[in-house]
Parts: sequence; structure tokens; C-alpha cells
Amino acid sequence: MSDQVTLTIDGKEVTVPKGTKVIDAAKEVGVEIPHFCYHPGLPVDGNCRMCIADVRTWNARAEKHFPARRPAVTCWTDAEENMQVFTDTPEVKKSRATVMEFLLINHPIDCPICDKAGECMLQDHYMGHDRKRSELREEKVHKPRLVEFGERIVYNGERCILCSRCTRFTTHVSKTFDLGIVNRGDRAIVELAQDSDFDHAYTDNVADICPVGALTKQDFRFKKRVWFLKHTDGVCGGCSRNCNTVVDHDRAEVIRVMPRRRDEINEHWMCNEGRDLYKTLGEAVRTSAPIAKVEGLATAPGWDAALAWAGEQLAPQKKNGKLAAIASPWMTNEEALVFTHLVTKVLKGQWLDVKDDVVDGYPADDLLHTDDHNPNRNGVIAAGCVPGKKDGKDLPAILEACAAGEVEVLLVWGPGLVNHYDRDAAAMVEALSSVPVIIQITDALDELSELAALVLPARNWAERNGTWTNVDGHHSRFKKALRPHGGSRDGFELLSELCVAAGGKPPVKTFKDARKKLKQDPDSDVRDVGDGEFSFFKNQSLYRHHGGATEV
Amino acid sequence: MASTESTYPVLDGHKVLLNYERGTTSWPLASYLERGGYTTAKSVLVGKKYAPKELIETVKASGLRGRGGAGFPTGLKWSFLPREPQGPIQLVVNADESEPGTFKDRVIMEENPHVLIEGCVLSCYAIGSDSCYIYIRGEYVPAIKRMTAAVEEAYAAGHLGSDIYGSGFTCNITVHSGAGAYICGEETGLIESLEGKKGQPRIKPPFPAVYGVFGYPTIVNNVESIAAVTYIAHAGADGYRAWGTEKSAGTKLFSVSGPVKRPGVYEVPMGYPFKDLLNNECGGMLDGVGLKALIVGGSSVPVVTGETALKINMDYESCAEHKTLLGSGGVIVIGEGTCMVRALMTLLRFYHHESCGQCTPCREGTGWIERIVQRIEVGDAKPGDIDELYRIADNMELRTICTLADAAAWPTKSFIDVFREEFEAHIEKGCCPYDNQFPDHLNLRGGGKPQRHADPEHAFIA
Repeated sequence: MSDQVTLTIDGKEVTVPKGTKVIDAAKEVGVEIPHFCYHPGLPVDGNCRMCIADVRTWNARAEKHFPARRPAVTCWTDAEENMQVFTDTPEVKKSRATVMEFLLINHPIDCPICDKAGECMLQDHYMGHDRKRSELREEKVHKPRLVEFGERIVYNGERCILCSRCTRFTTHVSKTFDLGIVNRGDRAIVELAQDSDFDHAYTDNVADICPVGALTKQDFRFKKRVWFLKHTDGVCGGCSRNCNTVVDHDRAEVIRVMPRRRDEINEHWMCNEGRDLYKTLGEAVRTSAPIAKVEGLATAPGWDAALAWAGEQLAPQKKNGKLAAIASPWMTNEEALVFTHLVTKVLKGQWLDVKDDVVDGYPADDLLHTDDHNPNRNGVIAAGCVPGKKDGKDLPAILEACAAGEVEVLLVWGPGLVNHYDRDAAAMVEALSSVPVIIQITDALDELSELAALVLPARNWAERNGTWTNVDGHHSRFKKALRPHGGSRDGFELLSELCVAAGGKPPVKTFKDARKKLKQDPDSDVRDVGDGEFSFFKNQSLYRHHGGATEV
Repeated sequence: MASTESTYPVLDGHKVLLNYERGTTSWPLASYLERGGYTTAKSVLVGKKYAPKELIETVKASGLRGRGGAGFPTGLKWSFLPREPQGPIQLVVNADESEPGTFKDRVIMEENPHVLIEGCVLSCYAIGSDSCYIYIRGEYVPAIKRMTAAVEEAYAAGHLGSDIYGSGFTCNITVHSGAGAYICGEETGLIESLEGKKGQPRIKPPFPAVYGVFGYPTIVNNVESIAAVTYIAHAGADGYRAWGTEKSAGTKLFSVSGPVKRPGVYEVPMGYPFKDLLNNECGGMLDGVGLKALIVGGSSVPVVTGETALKINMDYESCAEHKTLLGSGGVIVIGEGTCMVRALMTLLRFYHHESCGQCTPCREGTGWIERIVQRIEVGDAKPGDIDELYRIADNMELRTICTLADAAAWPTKSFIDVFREEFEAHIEKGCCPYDNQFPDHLNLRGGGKPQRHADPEHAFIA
């Protein structure tokens, strides 16, 4: 027997590995079976009954297809050889409408004040499979609302459809056993375990996977209607896991960050710290134009003059060899490629290393958190930001050389050298003061900017395109979500021009070439959606229409 | 060496499980030994009357059908065990008898517990198991006490434990008390509960015979089925087939409740006319009360009119012929003067209360139909509501993991089918024609119950 089975779904033939559930096999041929409780990242529970379809198994002895005795839920039924699945028959449609009706009778239908409205599976499936008026003449069942689960999650029992996704998450994924369903029948509610504070790092995921507005995040409650949000693919820089994210933003402001499915990196999940990272965007002190503190250059010299001056300072170092360069693990792979090229090829520099931008942070754990709280150390090192083989100096050696007055030009990317490096800040400042020319390219000003001869404003993670390489070597690409701050420039562009100003040539012309040169896996561009978790992408046009109307 | 011939007296020509004078102290081991107790087990274990496979075949041939309600052939169920089981096979005796109107297992456990224990030993021998759980519903406190005491007695006397009668066969019985949930009578719900989890049926397949309690292959049987194995092992398949019909063999316990002169549990052969059960065993209806309707097999089965009831024979085929089911044998006699809407309302309150809350149609549907029937009963309904009720009940059917939703839907549909004019009368009159009084605790018009977390301060905040 082969480990592949071939079955037909709505007349379309599909071959899938044995053990694949029918609902997943259907996805392969573009048949979406509606569901609530099924989630590709969680064990199957089969309680919502929405994914019922007409499944007919092949009986070889009778040479006939037999319908299941009880209608089958496709999230639990394994695909079998020669099986026939019909998802579009009148009975199946009736079954879905029935389940929708049952789900909605006790639902408060408070969509106008519900944060989930617009990305709610109940709304989507109501539009797709029910569209009926309520027949309920009785009073609805009332359940507790505004129950706080820890500090970040709020539970509304009336909206809850008891799909058990959240309890399965805390039981099988975070393994913290925080949530459980108590009581029976239509009195059942989700409750927090008595000894749980629900304060671990992955609590917000339960709100992401909640198909309705029962679990909402304190951070997002009443903040923004989802149809105003624009969604941009992002990558979390909170640690070297590089969780793929969706950056939801509106009017040059990040509203929230949600995980994006990427099976080999973060699957479907993301930590709370990563979600909160966008809040630090506004904390940074930034400059919108280059700042100079040298004679012969205006304080605000403008980009052309600044780059020309920088080129003048850098070019002689090709011969002098007194250039030190400190890269940042927050650089993109493409930036690191050009940075390395500038230092090692154009200027023949050997004194090159990567610093830590962020040192402190949460400890590593089994799920996502890693030890390194900088996103792209692997990628930057892979691009070549390492001490040169001959007479190379690593970071401590470079700093010693600075103190000894051996360094003429210090090129630093990003903030954090003075404060976060593992030595006395005052000693650091003293050591760096003896460097005649410090050029800092940064998206945030810090102590080093005070000492720098020239500060060139770059863009932060929400404002640029690029790729990071995570702790396991997987590449993830992120896109520009926000309009860049002031006159800051993209690092890739800026460094390429610096190459020219220093008398050389940039290594590649375009981003695409850079990626080719870095031999990045093609998956980094793939957006892995279509599991129903991001149904709002599909329906965005529909809701944007409504949203547009109300905005006026 | 002691004789390995078995003895098993049969009382009144057909009483196998209740083969003692009712009302006497029939439960101690001494009393059971007088009735030939454990001689069958001895004849099988020591005398090697049957090999395990032969015993399964004998049970198959006896035509014993599961006495818990579904009527699935017991021997066939046993043969579903995988040939190469993953882990030790477990036997679970389902004594979570909670179907309204059913109280037959209780009598076995309270009055004749050792016949069940002997049945467990024999069943374990047949399926190759050495451990057996008896899951008794929590409310059955006397039954739990009697069963526990009987198991201890049996251990002390060497009828249970390791190397029983020196035969090398080991059988251990654990008596487990449930917490009183109807859903734990569903075999996978029972297994979950036995494992210490919330009693919610598992999605199938895998069936318990493959993946059961603690992940081991498990056979779940009703108390009466397992108890009957003792007699089948004694008398053989033909001995058991002496009673009953072709497809419904043996004897069956019926628990009769309602306005009859002598309600109680009676053992009669399968195929026994209901008329005789009513008139002979139960002494007829109470004086001045006519037979209005009958629920043959516990509250989940469709109701039939009194007229039809008198034509029914108590076996699977005759019940099916009259559009009902034999079920668990919980005979509920409904007398003239009973409001059928109220009767349905009471049944639905039970199903609403006992729905485990897992599957959507059952969780939301049981409460909904209960509230509609409540409204009809208090005269607060419009004509379309009866069809609406029927439609909802129909929609609940077959759409859930277990059959609790079906069990709520069947009586609803049959009550409407059979007694529709009574529902209509409620709506036309705007009140119950039977002048029922409603106790306050039913809270009929409110529909809600006190909330555990109700917080008035936040009542209007999402």
C-alpha cells in the first residue's frame, strides 16, 4: 500500500498523504469547508459540527460507495482511497445553516461593539451559509461578561461558542493548563484555573485563535475597527526566532501585531513581548536629517554633503587601515551585505564585528523565545560581518583599539553600543571620545550620537523592506508598513551610495539581486495563509467597502 | 477436587437474574452461593468448560443484545477487539444508569451483586482481560455500597483476585463512583470520566475496542448484559435462547413506573406482551386511571399511544414495528389526565440539564426546545411554534458526536406526531387544558437561571 490516497472532493480528484484529514485535503483543491473549532495548529476536537459534509467511503467488497451512518465531520475524518466527498449538496448546506442557527440563538449579536467584528468567523459564516432571520422568541441564555483572564485577556461568555480552541491551546501548545470549560450544556463557560494568573508569555494567542469576540486583548479593545487596518507582512524583531507577523497599521501608526502562519518558524503563534514591540517604536528619539558635529560641515548638512563628507573620511582608510566597523544584529541581510562590501571590499577593512543592540530580555523557553534578543545575528554574520582573517579585530579588540587611539574612523550601525556593551558606560564614552571620526547610521539617537561626528538617520523595522535570518537559519521577509520618519533613508540605498562616495561600487543593484547573492530560500516570500485564521484578508474588500462608507 | 459442574436455579421458569425471593436478604455471598453462585465461573475457569474464544462464540450464539439501550449484540461487540491489542484489554461495566424511567441495573447491583461479579469474571475470561471497572452513577449510593461490599466479599472468598481457584486466571474489579451525569452513561463519556476528565463523549472512530480507557482496548457493557453472561455460560446458547424470540433472545428486566398498581422491576422473557406485563406483573392500572400513552424503553424512545401499547410485545422487532424502541427497558406508563406537553417539558428539562455542552446542536438546541415547550405549556405560544419545535428537533438529530441530541429529539418529534392535537389545544386555549400548577422553581417565564458571575455593574458593557 502506498502512503498516498486519492479521493474526490466535489468531483475534483486530489492525492494526499495517508492520515490527512478531509478538511485539509479539500483545501488542496481549493474547496474551503467552513469550520470553527478546527485549527491546523491544535488537536482536533470536532465539537462545532460546522464542517459536516457528505462523506462516502468506498466498500471494495460491495463495489459501492456508502454514506456515513452519522454525518461525518471532515476535520476528524481521515481521507481514504476512493472516498467521495460532497460539500455542496442541499443536505450539507442545510446542515451548515442549522449549525449557524444554533450558534447564533444565544449569541448576543453585539457586533457593533465587538472588537472582532470584521474578522469574525461567525460573521463570515453567517454571510456565507445562513443569512436568515433569528427564529428565537425566547430569552437568550445569559452568561458572565467582562471576565478578566490575567492582565491581557478579557472573556465574554455570551459571545463564546465554546469551540475549545483556547483551552486546547493552553493544554497542548503552551502546556500551562490555564483555561478549561466548566458547567454543562448551554451554561458552559470558559474559566481560568483557580491557581492560574494567566500571565505567561503566550496568553494573547488565545485571542487570536478565538473565532469570535469572546476573548479579546486588552491592548486592542475598543482601539480600532479592524476594517480600517492595513495589513503588512512583518517579522518580529523581539528575538532571534523571527516570528512571522502581520503588522496592522492605520494612519502611520502600528495598531497591533499579529502572528502569521509560518510552519517552520512560529507555526501560528507569537509571544506577548513581540506583540508589544511596536509600542517601543514611538519611544525612540529620532532625527529626520543627518546631524554633523565637525568643522567644515553645517550642523544640518543635508544628505548630499553628509554622504560626500563621509566618503572623504572613509576613502583614505583603504590605505591607512585604521577603519573599524561595528554592525548591528538588527540590520537586514541586504544591508549587511552592502555594509560588509563597503568595509571589507571597498575599504579593505579588517576590523569588523557585530554588537548586541538589546541585551536584556525574557528567558528562552521551549515554545518560541530564544536567548538572543536581536533578530538577525545569524544573517549579519552569514553576510560576512566578522573580523577579518588577517589582523582582524573583534568587538572588544576594536574598543581597546579605540581607547588606544588606533582607530581613525569608526562606522557604527544602530544604537546601543555605549549602554548595552558589557563594560562601564563612562569608560566606553572615554574610549570612544578618542576616536577622531565616528559615523553612526541609526534609527534612534543615543549616547553615541553625542560623540559621533556624523549621524545618518536610517529607518526602523516598520519602515523598511528586508529579510532576517532566524536562529535556525530560516529567512523571513518583511515589508514596509509605515511611512518613513522624516528624511531618513533606507539602509540598503544609503550604504550603496556610501560605497560610491568612498570610491567604490555597490555589490548589487537591487534587492532582488541581493537576495540572489545571499542564496535565500524561496519560502521567505511565501505567505502561508488559507487556514481560515486570516479570513479577513479574503473578505477585506467586502468589509473595506462597509468601512469606507462609515468613515465618511 | 471439587466438582466443576455448575448449578443455576431459574425461578418461576424464566427468572434468571432475579432468581430469588424478592425482599429477602439476597445480596450476601452466602445467599448467592446457595443459588449455585460461582459454580459457573468454577466450571469455566477450572473445569475448562469453554476456551475464551468458545465463550465469545457462545455469547454470540445466545443472541444476547446489549441491555443498555442500543441493543447491539454483545458477542459481536467483543469480537471487535483487535487481534493484536495494544496494551492490556479492559472491561468496563456501565452502571451509570441514568435514563429517566430506567432503574433495572440498580436492582441487580443492590439485590444480586454477585451475579454481576461472576459475569465480570466470565466476561474478562472471554475477552482476555484481567481488570474490570464497574462505573456506578454517583446517586446510586446503596448500589455503590452493596457492590463495593460484594467485591470485597468475593476477593476474600477467592472468587476474585489473582489465580482464581488455582486456574491461573486473574481478575480484578474496581468499583468506581461517577458524579451523577447522564452523559457518562455514553460509553466514551464514561471512559473520559473514568480517566478523571470531564465527562464528554469522544469523537469516534477510534472506538473503545481499539482505543478506550487509558488508551487501552476496552469493552464497555451494560450491567444486565454482563450479568446475563453468567447464565449463558451455565446453560449455553440454546439454554438462553429457550426464552424470547428469534432476534431477541433471553430474558429482560423491565422497570415499570407510572400509575400502575405495582410499579417495579420485573424479569420477563423477551417478547412478553406489554398487556400481560401491565396486567399480571404490575397488577393493572390504578383504579379509575386509563392508559393514555407508553414510553417503552426509557425517556429517549418515541412515545406510543395506549392503544398501540397494548399491541406491543416486549422485544426489539415488535417495538420497531410500532415505531418505537425497546431501549433500556424503562417502561414509563402514562395515565389519562396527564398533560403530554408537560410530560415532554419535564423530559426536555432533563436533556437540557444533562447535555454535556460539547457539540453545538445539542448544547444550544436542548435548551431552545425546552423553552419552546415551556412556552406552549404555559399558553404563551403561537400556532407556528409546533412546527418550529419539530424543525429544531429534526435539525438536532444526527449532527452530534453522541446520541444525546437524538435522545432529546426523538421524544420531541414523537410527542408531536402522536399527540399533536394536545399541543394545539394548549395554543388555542392559551393555557394548559389540564390545569397544571407550576412550582416556582421552574421559573417558567424567565427561562434563565441565577448566574454564577453575573455582575450588575457591568451588565451593559460588552
